[in-house]
Amino acid sequence: MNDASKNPEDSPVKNLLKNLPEIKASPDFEEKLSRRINTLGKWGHLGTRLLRRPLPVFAYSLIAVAAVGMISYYIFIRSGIQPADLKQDKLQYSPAQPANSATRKEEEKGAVVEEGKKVSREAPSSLSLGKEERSDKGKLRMGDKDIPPAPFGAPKTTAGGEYRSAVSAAAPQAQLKSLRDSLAVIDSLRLDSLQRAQKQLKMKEQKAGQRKHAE
Amino acid sequence: MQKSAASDEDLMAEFQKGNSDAFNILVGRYKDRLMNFVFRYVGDYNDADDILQETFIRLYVKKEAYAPVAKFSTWLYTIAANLAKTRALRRRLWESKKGVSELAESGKPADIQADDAIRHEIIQRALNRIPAKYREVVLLCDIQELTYEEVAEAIGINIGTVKSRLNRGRSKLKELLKDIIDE
Repeated sequence: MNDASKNPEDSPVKNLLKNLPEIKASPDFEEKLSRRINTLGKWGHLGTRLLRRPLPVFAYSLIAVAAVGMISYYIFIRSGIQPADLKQDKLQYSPAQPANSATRKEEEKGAVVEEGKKVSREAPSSLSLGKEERSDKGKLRMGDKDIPPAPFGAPKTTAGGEYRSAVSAAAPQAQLKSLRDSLAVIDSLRLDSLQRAQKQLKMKEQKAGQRKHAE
Repeated sequence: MQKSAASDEDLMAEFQKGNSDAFNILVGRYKDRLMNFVFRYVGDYNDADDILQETFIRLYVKKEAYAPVAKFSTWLYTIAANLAKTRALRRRLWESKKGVSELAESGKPADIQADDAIRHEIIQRALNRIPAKYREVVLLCDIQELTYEEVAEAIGINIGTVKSRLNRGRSKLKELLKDIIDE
C-alpha cells in the first residue's frame, strides 16, 4: 500500500506491528458515552475542560509569591518587629522627662533651647512635627505628663485609662534614668574639656607673662 | 440499513442536521479502530478509553466545525491524535521512563520470554519509547494503514515529512526490537 512497505529492511517491523492483537473498545463504551453526552451541560463541559487542563506554569510562581507574602506578614507585622527609625522615634517621644517636655513646649513656641539640642544629639533623629502630631492625635499626653503608646497586642485602654497609667509608671522611669545617665556623662565630658581648656589658657598666660618679664 | 451503508461524510452531514442516529453509527464504525490507535499511542487501556470518549464528545459538541472538504476519518484521527498527544505528554511528566530494556534485559533469554503476551508487551513498550512524532506516523501508517496523504492531512505535515518520520520511527523500533526480530 505504502511506498515504504516495499523496503525489505522495514518489513519485519511492519509485520510485528500488524500482528499485534486488535484492541477493542469496552462493551459498555456506547452506554458510557451516551451518559456523558446526556450530562453535558454548558457548565459541565466547561468544568471538565478546566479540570483536565494542566496548571499553567505561572500558577506556581503566584503560589510562591503568596506564600512569601504571608510569611513576611506574620514575621514582620504580626510579631510587632518594627524598623529601627520607628523605635528611635518612640524612644525619643515616650519618656516623661521634665526637661524634654519643657523643650517641646519651647519648640512649639518657636524657641530653640540648649537642653533640647543635647537630647537631639543623644538620639540621632530629631524631634519632628510628625511626632508631635502623633502625640496630639493619639492624645497620649495627659497634662504635662507624656504617656507611651501601648505595645502591639496589648488590650485596649479602658475608659479609666488603667493600662496607660500603669505603663507610664514603669517603663518611662527606666528610660528616664538611662537618659539622665547619658546626659550626666556628656556633662562630665564637657566639664573635663572646659577644665582642660582653662588650664591651657592659664598656662599660656603664665608663659606670656614670663616672656614679658624676661624681656 | 441505508444509513449504515452511507459514507462517513454523508452520515456526518446527517448528524449536522440534527440526526443523532447518524452519530451512533459513526461511533459504532470508528470506536474499535480508534481504540486500537489510541491504545497503541498511550499504552494504557483506561487512558485510551477516556481519550476515545473525549474524541466522540468533541465530535458531538463541535459537529459544526467539520467541513466536508476533509475526509471524515482523517478529521477524527486528528482529534484523537491531539488528545492522545496531550495525555501522553502529561503522563510523561508524572511517570518515570521505563524502557523496553527492563523487560528484554530482565536476565531471561528472549526466546523464553517470547510467548505472545510478553512479546506484545515488549512491542508496546518499544512503541512508547520512541518519540511521539515518529510513533503517531508509524501507528497511522503501519497499524491503521492510512495512506501518506491521509496521515499528512491528519497530522498537518507534508508527505515528505511523513515518509522521513516513518523511516526513522521504524529504524528506531527495529533497534529496540532486534531481539524479537532476530528470532
